[in-house]
Amino acid sequence: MLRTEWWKWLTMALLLYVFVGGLLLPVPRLPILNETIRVLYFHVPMWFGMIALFTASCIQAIKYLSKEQLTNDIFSVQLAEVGILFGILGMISGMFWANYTWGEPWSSDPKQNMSAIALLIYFAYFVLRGSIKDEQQRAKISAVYNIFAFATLIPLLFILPRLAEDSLHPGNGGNPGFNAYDLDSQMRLVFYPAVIGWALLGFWLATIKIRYEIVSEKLGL
Amino acid sequence: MMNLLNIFLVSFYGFFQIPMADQFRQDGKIYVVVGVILILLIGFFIFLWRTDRRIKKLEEKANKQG
Repeated sequence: MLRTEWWKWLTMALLLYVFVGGLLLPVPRLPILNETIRVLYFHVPMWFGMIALFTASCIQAIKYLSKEQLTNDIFSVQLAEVGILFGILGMISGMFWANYTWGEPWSSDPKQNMSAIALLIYFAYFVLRGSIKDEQQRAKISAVYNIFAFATLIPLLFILPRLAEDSLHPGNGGNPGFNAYDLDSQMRLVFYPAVIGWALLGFWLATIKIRYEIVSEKLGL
Repeated sequence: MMNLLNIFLVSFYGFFQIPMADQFRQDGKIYVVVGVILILLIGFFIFLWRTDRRIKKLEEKANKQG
């Protein structure tokens, strides 16, 4: 993984900008959403971050299966752990937001249900790991499961919600896409840095966990 | 159809002012929120950076041993 430091400074700079710009820069005036439209800069990047982390986790799982190096297993599981953290935070923040905009925290919206299923599949990954004592066996079985989980994540988050009849999430079901919801050029100025910044923060947290695991193994802790 | 209806609704509402935190911003209270968030965020980053450093020291120690 990245050994240099510059991207950590980039993470901090981007997130500082996102919090200041996210609160101060102009947003479109929309009914129901009002000022809460700014939640977009914080809720949606959680999911983008989760997907980035799960993608990296899956790549490491494939690498493990081809090389059988335990380091790849450490990478894979720690990336998935931070990914699930982002997913849980995205879910809770989304429910809180929905409570005030859609009228209830859980509307059984297709995207809500599918992302809940996706998270449950990843929870099972950790249950599976916890149930196997042997290191090599645990690494191998969970790597295979990780690839399966990732393969179900894509249709669950990107395909099935879009096939649904109707959805409250913009860009899904019968709802208008992001553009009609005015993700205008002004919002993009904060939204894209937010996605990159939050995802980078996720990787930073993951690298700390990975390095801790590797170094504690080396020191025999 | 939904698209058209939505665009119509959005522009219809836009015609009458959509309530936003305009007064709050004019009073400058928004800067209190921004300030508090910045303090917390910078504090969190310092903590994260120091944790990063501590791991680096452990890694150097482990490399010397190994």
